[in-house]
Amino acid sequence: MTSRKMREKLSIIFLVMSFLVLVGDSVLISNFLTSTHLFKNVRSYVRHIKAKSGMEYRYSQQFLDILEEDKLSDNSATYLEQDEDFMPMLGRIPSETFSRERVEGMQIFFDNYRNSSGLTNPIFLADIIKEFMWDLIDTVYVPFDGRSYCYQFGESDWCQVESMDLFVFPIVMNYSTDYNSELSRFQYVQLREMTDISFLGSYGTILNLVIDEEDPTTRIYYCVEYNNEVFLAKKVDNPTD
Amino acid sequence: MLFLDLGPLIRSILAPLIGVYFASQSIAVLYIFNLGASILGWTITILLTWMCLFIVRARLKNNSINVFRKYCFEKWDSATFLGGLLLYSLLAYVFVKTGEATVVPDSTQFEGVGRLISQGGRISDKVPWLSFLVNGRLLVIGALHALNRLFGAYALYGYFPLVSTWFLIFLGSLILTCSQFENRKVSIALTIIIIASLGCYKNFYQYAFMIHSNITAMIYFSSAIISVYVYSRTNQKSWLFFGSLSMGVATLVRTDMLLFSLVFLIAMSSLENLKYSILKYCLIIFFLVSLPWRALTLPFVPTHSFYVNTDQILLLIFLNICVAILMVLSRKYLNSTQWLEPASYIAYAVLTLIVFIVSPEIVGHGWNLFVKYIMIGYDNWLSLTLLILLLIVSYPSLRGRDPNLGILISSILLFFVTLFYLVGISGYEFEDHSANRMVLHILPVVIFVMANGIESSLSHLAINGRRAMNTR
Repeated sequence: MTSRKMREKLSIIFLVMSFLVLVGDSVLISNFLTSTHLFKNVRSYVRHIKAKSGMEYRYSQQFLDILEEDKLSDNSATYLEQDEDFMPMLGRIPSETFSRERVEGMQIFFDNYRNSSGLTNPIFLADIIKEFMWDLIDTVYVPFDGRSYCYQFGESDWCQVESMDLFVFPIVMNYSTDYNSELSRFQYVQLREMTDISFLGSYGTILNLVIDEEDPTTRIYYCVEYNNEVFLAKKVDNPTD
Repeated sequence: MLFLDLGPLIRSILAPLIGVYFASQSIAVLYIFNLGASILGWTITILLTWMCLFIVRARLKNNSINVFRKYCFEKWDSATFLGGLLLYSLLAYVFVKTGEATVVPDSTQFEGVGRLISQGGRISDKVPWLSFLVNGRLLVIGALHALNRLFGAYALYGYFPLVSTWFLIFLGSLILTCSQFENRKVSIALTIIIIASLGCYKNFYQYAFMIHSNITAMIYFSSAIISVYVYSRTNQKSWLFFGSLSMGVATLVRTDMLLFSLVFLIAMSSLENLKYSILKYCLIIFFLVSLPWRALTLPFVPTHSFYVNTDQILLLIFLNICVAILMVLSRKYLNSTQWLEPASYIAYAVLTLIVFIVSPEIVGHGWNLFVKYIMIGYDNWLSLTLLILLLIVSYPSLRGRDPNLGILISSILLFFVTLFYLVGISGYEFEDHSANRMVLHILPVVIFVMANGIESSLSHLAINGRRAMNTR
């Protein structure tokens, strides 16, 4: 009888302990705890034990390199994030096309995804194509051959670029390296002046749309870059000038 | 119209979880039949589904007028349903306005497939990674993204915290349903504290805002397992029907759930006196929900994909059908299905022995990657590992008071053993592994056992205390 009572008491103690473990790992308490010195000491001690017993998670060097790259890209973006001029500029877009709710929705979408991964710049570009140029474009040329998972473009990683197909459907994405996607200084200045809308993408890349409504015959646009800026424009003559 | 032997309150709490399934399934039906998703098409599909359900029920009851009256008037509690709707709308408003979301690289694929469908994409359109999108991204999250866009919204982010919060309410109501506490007020207070603790638990909180399939899979999978236990306590057959529906939905949310549905079937088989007719209906519901989508999308699944292949899906479906047939035959001819649970342990033990001899690196992978690193080595699941160990230690005492708790404990163990083998076979050493996210799927079941244990222990203490007082 006594041993049964003892067992039941122990059971209650274990259950209360399990509840305390749950509470101790809550966002509220763990945020507070992780900022204290005591916790840091305990954590480093636990990690030391885990490392010694071979239980610490060991990432491969390749995976660690990817994490490090992401961290560096994060840092490069901070100076632009603070600049309010780079918030969505609606420029010449007629105000009746976009309600306040739509702009707010777009803002939340960009804020949530910005700098989260190398997959965001392609979907940002596709998103603004869909929003602003839906009825002006048939085909978009992008300078990726589809063989790699990531490409360096606009001074940031553009990964899983095929996602753009889904975002702009039924507009056709043409993955082609048959055109020069790098702008000269002169072309950059020219396009900058013609730019209608600019958006801050991820990792400091600026996405610009050059909308040409005057010439409806050509509905093909090209994706080109100059430093950290990416432009979507109709073909620029003599691009190596 | 569904689960009529449950009270109006619990049915109004269940409604959004079932609604999410019907809403997304309707979008998927339009897509797979090459019709193109639109608000009108979606509405017609939903209405047709409900009409079919109504006709089937009416035919089963043989009196359509009575059935109609019963569904529309007798079983309808306006105040409760409107209260639930109001609370749900209020929560939705709050989460839409706060605009909080956690995104990961995979989020872009859910977002992408939603936009593709809402912009007129059909199964005949050859878009990149079609098989990957159809198998892993479209149902349920991608379809909800599509629906969200069709209704004119920009991006789906409010759904995740909303459905997570609603699930907490549902879990709380289940804890209260099974509570042994005589003092209702104390029981409610305890349940609120435990549910709030789960809501604030860092992993739950993080995934509740994440644009991904994990939290939805967790909700449907754990609801299915817990429903089996609730049935064992209340004897209301609707819990088993809901559990089967919920498990079926979980297999649509994530393909890997076709493996964990075996855990659900084993949990159901461990029920004492499981009626043949109930078992039959449960299996029909489960396969009706999970199989058609797999069958219709199988032609789009390649044989050599990085994600999931035809042979893997066919093997998982075959395993599910085998276990279901075993259950039916066993119930019919042996009058019990309970031997399946110990048999599954024996099967795992034999499997471990064979694998250890034939391919020991699988066990090594499982041990190193899952046990050593994911459960203990990563900092994020360390507390859950500790919590489970504490529960296992206190289980013998709990079992004395509630033998049915074994259903949940064995489900937790089977889930982890299955995950162990999944990790062991798939490999991916030294990289981020999806099993790290899959641990989340069993979390509510663990917390439910803990809550149940605490409430039953305290209730037991209170009764003993009262007895001691009376003796004095």
